[in-house]
Amino acid sequence: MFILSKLDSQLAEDADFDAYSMGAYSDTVAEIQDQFVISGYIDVEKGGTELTKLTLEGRKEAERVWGNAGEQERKVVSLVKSWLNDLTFNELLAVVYAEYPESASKSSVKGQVDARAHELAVSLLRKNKVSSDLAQRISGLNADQFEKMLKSRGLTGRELESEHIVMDAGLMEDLRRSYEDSRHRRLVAWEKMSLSP
Amino acid sequence: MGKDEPKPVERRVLLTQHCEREYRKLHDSIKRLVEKTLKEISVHPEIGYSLTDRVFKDKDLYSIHCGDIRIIYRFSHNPGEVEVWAIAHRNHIYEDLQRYRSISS
Repeated sequence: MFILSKLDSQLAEDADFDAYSMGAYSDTVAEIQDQFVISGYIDVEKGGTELTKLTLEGRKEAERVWGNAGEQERKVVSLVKSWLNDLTFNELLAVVYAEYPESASKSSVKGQVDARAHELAVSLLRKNKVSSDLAQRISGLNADQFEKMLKSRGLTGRELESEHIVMDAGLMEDLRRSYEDSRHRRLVAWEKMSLSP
Repeated sequence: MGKDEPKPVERRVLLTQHCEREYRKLHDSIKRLVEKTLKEISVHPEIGYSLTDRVFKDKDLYSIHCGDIRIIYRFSHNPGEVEVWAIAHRNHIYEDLQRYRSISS
């Protein structure tokens, strides 16, 4: 919700996130979450990390809301969700603290995140979640130090690019098909398709 | 470029049939961006990243970005040609999400 609120000024105003011990916190979002629990829309499993799940009733309601949402809203929510999908909690905190330092002002876990800053910057970069500029800021190193740190871990631009391509299943399927086309010389001259006169 | 410097060799750009189908689906504004990059790699194919993973070994594949698009190609197989194997949207990174700021305004 915090990331979404950074993309939508109305949501930011409504949610009114504030610095808290674990990062950004919104009374409004917490209240709505409680209401959803009472209404039977979600289950919250308390444990090491709080896990929120839609109930069957909640899923129906979510589908109704999703159906009424605008195309742009759906696109943004989908993008944020897919960006968050395989992030660890510490990776998320590292991005949020680097991008919005004010949200870390009361954090009780910032020291923990800072202590792992190099490791978190590298894993975010390898997962293709952030640019190398943001990864560098997360690491807390200057550009030269950051490059040296990446090199010491055997990471160069071309290695990262290769890793990002291998992680993209759709793209790997494209390459597999193109490999077969190339083998059988099923090739089309680009000049025939060019838009330029 | 000086008078005596040789004119760079322009390679013929070929798209695999699969890639051609994907290319045709792109919006014209993106096609223009792709065209510009293809022209560039037809002359300087070495400007992309040479892919290193063992999956790509022996395929001599290179990758280059233009905006949101990633182009993957091969050029060392035949000296007069560049084969384009993929033209695909890149996955969104955090900074890309910032473009969607103020969706409600």
